[in-house]
Amino acid sequence: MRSMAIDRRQFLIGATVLLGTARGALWPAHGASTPARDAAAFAGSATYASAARRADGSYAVLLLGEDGSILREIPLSARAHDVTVDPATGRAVVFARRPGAFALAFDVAGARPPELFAPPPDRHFYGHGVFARDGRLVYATEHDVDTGDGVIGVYDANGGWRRVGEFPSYGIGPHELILLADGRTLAIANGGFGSDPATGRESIDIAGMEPNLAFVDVATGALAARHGLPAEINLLSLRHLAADARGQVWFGGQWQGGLEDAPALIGCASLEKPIALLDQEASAGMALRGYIGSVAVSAGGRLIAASAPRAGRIVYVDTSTRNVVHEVALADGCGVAAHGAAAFAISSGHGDVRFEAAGDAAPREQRFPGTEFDNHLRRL
Amino acid sequence: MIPDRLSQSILSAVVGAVALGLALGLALAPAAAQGAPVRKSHAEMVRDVIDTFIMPRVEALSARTAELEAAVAKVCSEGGSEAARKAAVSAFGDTVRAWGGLDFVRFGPVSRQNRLERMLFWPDPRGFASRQLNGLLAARKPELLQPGGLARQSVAVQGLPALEILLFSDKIPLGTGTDEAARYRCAMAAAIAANMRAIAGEILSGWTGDDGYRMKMLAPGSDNPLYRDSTETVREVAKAMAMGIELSRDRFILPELTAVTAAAAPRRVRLAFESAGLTGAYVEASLHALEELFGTLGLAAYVPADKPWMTAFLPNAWKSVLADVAKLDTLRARERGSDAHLHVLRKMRFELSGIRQIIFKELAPNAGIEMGINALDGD
Repeated sequence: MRSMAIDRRQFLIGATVLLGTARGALWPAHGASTPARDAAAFAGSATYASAARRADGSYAVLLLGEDGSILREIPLSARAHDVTVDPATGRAVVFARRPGAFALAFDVAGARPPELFAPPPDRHFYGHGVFARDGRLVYATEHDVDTGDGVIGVYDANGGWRRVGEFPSYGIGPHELILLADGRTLAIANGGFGSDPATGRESIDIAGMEPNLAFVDVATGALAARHGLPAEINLLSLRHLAADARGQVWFGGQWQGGLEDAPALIGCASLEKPIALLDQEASAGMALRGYIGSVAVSAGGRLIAASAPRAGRIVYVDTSTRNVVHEVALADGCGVAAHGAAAFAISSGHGDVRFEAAGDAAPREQRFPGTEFDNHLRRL
Repeated sequence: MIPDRLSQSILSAVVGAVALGLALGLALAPAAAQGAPVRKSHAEMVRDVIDTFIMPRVEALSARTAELEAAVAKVCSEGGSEAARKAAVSAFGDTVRAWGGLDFVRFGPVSRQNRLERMLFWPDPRGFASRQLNGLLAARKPELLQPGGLARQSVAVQGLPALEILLFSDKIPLGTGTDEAARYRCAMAAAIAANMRAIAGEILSGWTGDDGYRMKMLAPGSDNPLYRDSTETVREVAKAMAMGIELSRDRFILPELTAVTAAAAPRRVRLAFESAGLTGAYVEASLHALEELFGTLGLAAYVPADKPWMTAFLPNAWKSVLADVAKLDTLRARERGSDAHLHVLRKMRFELSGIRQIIFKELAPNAGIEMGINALDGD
């Protein structure tokens, strides 16, 4: 196992060198675009990033402009999941999806070659990470393969992506983590189950799930608060997070039990307050097919969008009334990111990028036939 | 991960080559189109999958677990006679095969009350089943042997892996000891078998009857909170196909490849049913069932008009996979890690990846079954 991981890393390091030397050849955008657009990309005008599978079956991170056009493409050796960005430096990191063996740091403006890094041989990534407020560190959700515990790996963004430490995630199967407005509290969605790289994506011990939302002080790695679910809905894997303007942390869950038994999938909590699920009719979880793929907060911090790709629906929740206030239908729509003051951009596995407008204005749409936008759309 | 990418490029190359070859030959064989299979509607696909694929297998699982329960009880009542143990081992194998042909159907009754994990707690990288079972054997609580007693215990001790531990232990042949520990051990095996019979019975009754899952799937509509129309039900059954292919890959091919290709001191990854010698039988049952499910869905009728080469590619790929899986047990036993062993594993992975790709990128969309990367395989 150990040597396998090292082999894989050596391969990946090889890939980095290739990227570095062949940068000129690889850089121009694929689905593109005009020289003017490419120039704009180099000037750093990319607004969104998303992992994707391209028509030829290859994987990439795509950088999109404000209008949804694909400005640049960074090839990847395998499927990735989410991107985190440091707005001050324009550096971003894309993480391989669970059980992930690599992460690729890249420069949004394309000025520097990407750098690849990997978790230790006895760890795998879950697909998410987040920059520290000062941009010097990146925190990544990881799985300790030997013990099954969730950990947060700490990587030095200025030191060649060396792994400089770790602390517990205070649960099993940490998935998305976000840094709260105070700059020092991480909210971590511990999904409740792990997977072993040797058995791919098979979930370990679903029946024993005890998912939680943990709040951790990044300065000390100490647990500040941890909120679980009532035992009868412990099969609701807490997965994706977004914080609203008032500091409440919203989550979208994925129900691992029978569809008939699915509870509400969306809820919120805070450091002080336990988890409250949306108060919806009993069939709400069923109607969303038991699965939320991602959540995002609007620019004003008032609305939360939660995507349900299995139902082809995206619901907007007003965070103050905790009511679903709007719904969008988009087949395989999954990636959501803030767009404008009170609306969202949505990406789909069928190659759509759709920009919803506030109020009654018609949405705008870009289509990239053959491109599959994968899970998350991140505003840079 | 990296080799997947490689196999994808190989697949593209093969697909291209096959397309070229067939395009040349096809002009001579226009008759092929006349025998084209009937294109089923979504509702027909769902009905056929439920009535000719799922229900017979659910019934068979119920019957096999009932036989297993009787056989294990006999081992205990006959003091572990050779004949009784042989019969129980055989009944265990039949149950594993019955489960292998069904365990990728993960919607409906099996998804409730942890029935899936209670039948087969897997993967179990930290040997949870064994540890939990040893705890129960040490405590010897009589109430656990009563009907329903195990159902409240850890899922890891309720099903096939726990019974495998008891039935295939070389140290103490089940039913042979006369002391209290040995008697409890045998009674525990019988209780596990009875528990599985109960679970299989619940799965069966969950599918049947006027308010059973079968009817819920056959009657989608606005008054059905589970399924609004047949596009939703057909996605559910088609998804089982993807699940089965992934399980075969993740449960057998990937761990085996990981173990035998690691250069030094590889972590030994356990495969399901190794102690019982049923690893191959289990995955073989799964793959045969998947081929049958593919046929029952009738997706071959939806080969796109501009890609007629797929018509021949698919049966050949299935044939290759089924021929290879039959070799795996022997290769593992006699020449684990040999070139031949690796070749078979890689070829299986390649063929399965090709089958999956063609089904979900070409046939299913052409049949109006739209499943994007996020709905089908998100995280």
